[in-house]
Amino acid sequence: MMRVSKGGGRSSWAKTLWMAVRGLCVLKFSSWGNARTLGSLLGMASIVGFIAFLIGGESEGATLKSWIEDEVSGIIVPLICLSLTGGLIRSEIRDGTIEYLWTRSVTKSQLILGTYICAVGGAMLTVAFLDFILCGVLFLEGNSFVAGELVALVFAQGMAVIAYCALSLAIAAIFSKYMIVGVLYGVLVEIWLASVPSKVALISVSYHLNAVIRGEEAYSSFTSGLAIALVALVTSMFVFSSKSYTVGKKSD
Amino acid sequence: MRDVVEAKDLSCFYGPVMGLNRVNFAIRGGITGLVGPNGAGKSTLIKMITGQLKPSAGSLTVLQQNPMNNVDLLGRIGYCPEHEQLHRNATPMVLLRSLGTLSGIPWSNLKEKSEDVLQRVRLSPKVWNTRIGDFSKGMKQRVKLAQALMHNPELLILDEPMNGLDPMGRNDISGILRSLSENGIHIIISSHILNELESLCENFLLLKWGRVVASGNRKEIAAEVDQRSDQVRIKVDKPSQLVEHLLNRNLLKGYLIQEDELIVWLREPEGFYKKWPMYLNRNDVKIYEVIDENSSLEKVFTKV
Repeated sequence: MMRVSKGGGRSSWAKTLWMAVRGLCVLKFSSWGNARTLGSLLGMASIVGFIAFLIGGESEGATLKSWIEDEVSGIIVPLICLSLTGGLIRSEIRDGTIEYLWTRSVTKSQLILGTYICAVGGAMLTVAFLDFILCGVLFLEGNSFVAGELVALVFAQGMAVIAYCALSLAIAAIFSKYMIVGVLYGVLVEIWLASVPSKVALISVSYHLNAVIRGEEAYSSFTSGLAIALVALVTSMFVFSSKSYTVGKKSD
Repeated sequence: MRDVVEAKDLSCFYGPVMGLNRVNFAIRGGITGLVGPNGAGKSTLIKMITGQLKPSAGSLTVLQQNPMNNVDLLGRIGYCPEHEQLHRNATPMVLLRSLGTLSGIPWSNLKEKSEDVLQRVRLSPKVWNTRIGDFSKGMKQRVKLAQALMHNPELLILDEPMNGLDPMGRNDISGILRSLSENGIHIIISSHILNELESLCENFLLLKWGRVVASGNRKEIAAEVDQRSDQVRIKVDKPSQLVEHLLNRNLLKGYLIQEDELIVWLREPEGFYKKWPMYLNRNDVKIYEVIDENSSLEKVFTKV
């Protein structure tokens, strides 16, 4: 009979977390081949590719950089993280299938952390695919701008995915209508507060994201983004472990 | 045998709404039926047993452990929720591999283990790699049961597993549960369908309005509810002669003759049951069957 021992301290906890990540990845990514997911992915790739084709032809570095900062990294990436991460946890609660996960040999904290790691993996793959399309279109147009900025872009978007997925997880753990709350949070904190010329802008991921892309205090901005992710992640774990959810219904 | 589940003064409140109110009971091994109307507290109790709900007061032990935040215990329990939802885009094999991993089954054993449980729940191998969203209710119930069996649980908890199944499907699931019980798995099953439970379960826990109204096997429950039934159904070849005999001894309040069957209402049930073979033993009358009407779970449940 197979049993997961509670003893063994940190290494056992990490093993169980790894077990949760593997189990959840098998479940979540097995359905990625369906028409709906592939359709969404190709739709996003077409939009990014088309706009890159229009702007990239002008060969204006500043316009292209601004577009990558604002639209691709500031809007598309957060929306991908929000829909993917929120969907992973909220669809389980709404459908009631979360009960199959709650009654396994993993704690709720490990479950939410495992979901987060799966979501980050999924979002990274999606963003990498979009970047591939973006770079491909620009390369075909003979635009060398992105090649020079590629390292900063990858680091910035990696940080953005880690932070936005954690924020999305916290929002989805608290609110059933996570898309609406997430978009409101984005408008209020990531767009409005990020543009306020004071220290309050530091709580916005987009502020740090733009700083990393521009190479201004890149290291501290990168770690600040990760710190926001950590706070959001701890909040998600606390909320998910303590909140009573009504499962199998549209809202709780 | 130790009790599988034991509750002492167990209560659960959802704000002002009562789920369970100071209940005391012990569930033995074997197959136990959790019976009660809507709002009786069956699902609340099941959620507490599986550690999803914290008791407001009192104590609950499952397999001699506290179920709250106890992942070790969850590794010994298989749970089948009430709703029929499953991950519709997954196939049974994918779902079982995933949930098996979450239960701590080594990666290398997952395929073999998944195939084994799917065979145990008698799901056709043709659909093992088909999307669950395309399954019938009966097939989904089998997958639900399979996921609960993946980690070889000692205790299986099934919340309304017969819901939405046709008689053939119910019969199949009952057969599977019987065979699991024979293999030493304790089963707690909740249902509104009393007829299936009556033939399937050895013990019962009757709940109503958040309270336990009776518990034990069928006879113990009948005895707990009412010492003896005042109504007896007797299959006999000459009902009118037997009625005359019983009336002469002043044992009956009333009677009804239906072809070869006699239903009698007893004046003093206690006295009658002590000496009934003597009362019914007449040389010229053949008795085929004597049924205490109170032993029907449906009757007992209606009565409580």
